[in-house]
Amino acid sequence: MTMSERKTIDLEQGWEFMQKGVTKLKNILEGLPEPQFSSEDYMMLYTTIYNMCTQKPPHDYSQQLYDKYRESFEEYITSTVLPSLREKHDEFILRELVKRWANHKVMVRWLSRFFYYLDRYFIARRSLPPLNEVGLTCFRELVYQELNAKVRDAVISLIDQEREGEQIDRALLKNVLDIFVEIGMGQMDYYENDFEAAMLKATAAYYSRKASNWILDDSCPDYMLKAEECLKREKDRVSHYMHSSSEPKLLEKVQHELLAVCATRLLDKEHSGCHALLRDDKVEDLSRMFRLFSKIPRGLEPVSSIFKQHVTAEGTALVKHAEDAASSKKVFVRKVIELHDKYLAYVNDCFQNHTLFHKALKEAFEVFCNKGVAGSPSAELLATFCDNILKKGGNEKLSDEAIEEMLEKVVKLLAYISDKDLFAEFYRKKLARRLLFDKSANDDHERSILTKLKQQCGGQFTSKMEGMVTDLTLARENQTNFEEYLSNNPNVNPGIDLTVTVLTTGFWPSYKSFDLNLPAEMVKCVEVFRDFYQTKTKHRKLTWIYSLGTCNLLGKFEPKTMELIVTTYQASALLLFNSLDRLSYSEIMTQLNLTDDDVIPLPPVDEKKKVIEDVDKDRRYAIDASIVRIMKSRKVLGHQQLVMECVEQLGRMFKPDFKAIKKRIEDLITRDYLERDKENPNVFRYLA
Amino acid sequence: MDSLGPNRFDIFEIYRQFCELRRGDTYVCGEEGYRQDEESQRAKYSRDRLNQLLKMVESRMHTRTAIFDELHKLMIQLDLTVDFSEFSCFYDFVFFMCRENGQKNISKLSHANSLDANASISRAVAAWRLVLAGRFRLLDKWCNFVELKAILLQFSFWLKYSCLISGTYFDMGMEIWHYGYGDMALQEYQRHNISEDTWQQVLAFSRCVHENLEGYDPEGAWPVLIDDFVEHMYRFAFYTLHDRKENLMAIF
Repeated sequence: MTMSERKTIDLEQGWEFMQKGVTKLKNILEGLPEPQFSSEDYMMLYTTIYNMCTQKPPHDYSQQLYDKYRESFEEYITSTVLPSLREKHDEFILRELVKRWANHKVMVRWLSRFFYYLDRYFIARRSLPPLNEVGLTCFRELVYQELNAKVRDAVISLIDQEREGEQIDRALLKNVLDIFVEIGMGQMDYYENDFEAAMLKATAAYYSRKASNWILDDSCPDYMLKAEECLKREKDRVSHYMHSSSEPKLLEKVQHELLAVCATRLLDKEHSGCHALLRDDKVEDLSRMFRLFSKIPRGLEPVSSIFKQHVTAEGTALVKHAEDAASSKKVFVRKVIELHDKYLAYVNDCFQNHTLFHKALKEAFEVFCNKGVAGSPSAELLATFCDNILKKGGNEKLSDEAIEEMLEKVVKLLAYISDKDLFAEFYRKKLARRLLFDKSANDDHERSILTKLKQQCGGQFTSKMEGMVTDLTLARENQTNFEEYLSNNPNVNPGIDLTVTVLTTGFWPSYKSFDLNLPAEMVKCVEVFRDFYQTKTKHRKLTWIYSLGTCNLLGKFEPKTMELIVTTYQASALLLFNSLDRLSYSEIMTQLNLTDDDVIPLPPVDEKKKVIEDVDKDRRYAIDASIVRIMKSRKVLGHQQLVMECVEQLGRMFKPDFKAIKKRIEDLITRDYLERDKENPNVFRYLA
Repeated sequence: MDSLGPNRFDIFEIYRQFCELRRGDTYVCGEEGYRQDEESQRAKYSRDRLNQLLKMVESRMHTRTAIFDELHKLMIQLDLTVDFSEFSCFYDFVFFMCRENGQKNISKLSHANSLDANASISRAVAAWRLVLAGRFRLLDKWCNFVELKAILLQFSFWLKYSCLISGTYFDMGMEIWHYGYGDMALQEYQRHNISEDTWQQVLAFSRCVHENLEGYDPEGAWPVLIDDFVEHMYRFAFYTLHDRKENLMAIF
């Protein structure tokens, strides 16, 4: 058979043939007895369409067949599908819908195969919706549009039943919800608008009811357990039968209703809220609290603020306790370290290292660490604590590792202290005493803490202290050299054992040096040492500080000879009696060239007050230097900005008070370093 | 310049020269295209001239107290009500006449052990009362405050000094320590006088602040003395407007 011989098929005739195929398909879908399509049946149907579409106009029936294709679906839906759905409710309508949708998809698949030729030419050429889409759109417009609300309500009601603990057919829900997705043909709009929005609203209502009951009846830990369980179940729910895109939205709703809405009431519950959990060390509940509240926006802020309050209160209680009982001042720093260990562990474990809690911890410690205890600034207590660890026979009997760890912790604590310069001054005083009176227990530890301080506070902070430690090492070497010198030059040996510690002036605290008239024996010593020292160095001035010296004297008394360990002053006074038996007070004073104050020891000056005053003076210089530095580089600067930059520059060492800065600015104006801008008195100019 | 007779003290002539120098200074600043070093040179020049003028004034004036009579004489002759820049010039002139030895402060302190800063304060106060009368609503309160502060300072220094001697701190506590005067060192106590900058800022303060302290910007670069005054007003003065004297005594 050739093309030219082909008989023209008219529409009515052709469609009648096609109708038979369609009816057979419907019967199969309805489960009526009907033999399956054979490949021959299929070929006939396809060929008919092909023929009807390839006839010369006016016998090209493409458009008509395209319309008929759609009408076939519409007819089937109106006559069969809708009536069967309309009479059903609840779970039954869901089952029916799932079945009808499955059938419809089969019908689309088959019919579109019969009409396939339309897709290839007619539809492609005219850019019409393809057959598959036409088929699915029919279901959407006729079935879905009419019934989606009813179906959605049935689904939500089943979800609520499941929330209440009933068993439901999850597979059925999964299938129904798939329809909402598939009906969008790649777009999620239908799922989101027709199902998800209502489901979220219903979820919010459900959990809002729950929350308002639980918050009344349950303790905070119980409530959180329930909330966590609910969240887990909802997550599980999504993974079983909803579209995965619903998970964040659903969880957000649940979190909002269960946590955000009643956060304050939950956290502030009197006997079981956040305060109580911290008080009772309920680590597990606190971890749960963190997990839950980390999920809601700004949820952690109230938790961290309660944490800060709690730590501040605990720390303040330590301060108060230390003030009430004099003896506990000694253990104060140890207690603060323990407190820090404890709550740092909380931050790391319960609160998963979150910055908000690190900040809260820092701020809490800054509050009470800067209070000081009974007149002693924390800077001093910290320095004393270090001294006790580092000096020989200190209170702390610890292993090397434990000492290292302790030093690490003290230095960490120093970060919270704003008066770091004050700490440095106290520390230097105590370090000097350890080094000069041979009280330091271990050189390695001395150096180790300086390294730690350097890391935290910068090289300038420790340069003097390092210089002091180095001085001592050099002094020991120097002493060995001196002894060698004496053995090589026996003629200069003064006949007295002499140990000299040479120090660099700038590193050490200032000590008084008097022009003491030394006994001849000692003068000899000094001269010998001076000669030795000049062989090594030129142009260095040695200042002798006798007030720090000690002497071992042999007193040849009547009963027996006694060894006396005395200060250099005392030794000088005693040696006067080698030549005379009796001396008056004023004779001693004149012969030694001392004043009353040196001869009669006064009660020691309040060292603490002096240190504080010295630091205060240093601060004035530091502020001056900082202002000049800033203005030198900026030339012209507003008052506020100058103050801010100054605070920032000095913050590593101490927190300068605004008034102090202002006073320094005024002073610098008087000294012609700065002037006010003529137009704007809030602006300063640097005068070169 | 020395158009004055060898021993005559003529406040009008001094004032004329002062204004001239001051105007010359501003003229230099306003000139366009001037060079930096040129400006500083001119500023140095006029500073030197001012110092010369001051030395001359000192050599011819026999008693310091008479200066207020002279200033008063000058003030009633000048028409200061019209032009603010004229008044501002006169205000600076008052400071110029009250200071000594080219210092930038109104100060009487010359040696380290002097505990009498009150003389310089009372001179500054007298000068304010003269020049700002009728121009500063808070003038009376301001002057009282400055004097009170000087007394408190002296008192707290005495307290500190006696504590150092006796070796104990007795609890004088209360407002003085609270008020921040407690830790005042001698050095700082001595420096308690009125600087040129403070003097000038008081004029600015008197112009921008209302009786209820409205117009005072706590963020501004006011001298600490003015900040302290405002703080003092809020702490004490506002609720004791009826009997201020009694309340000031309560501070002790």
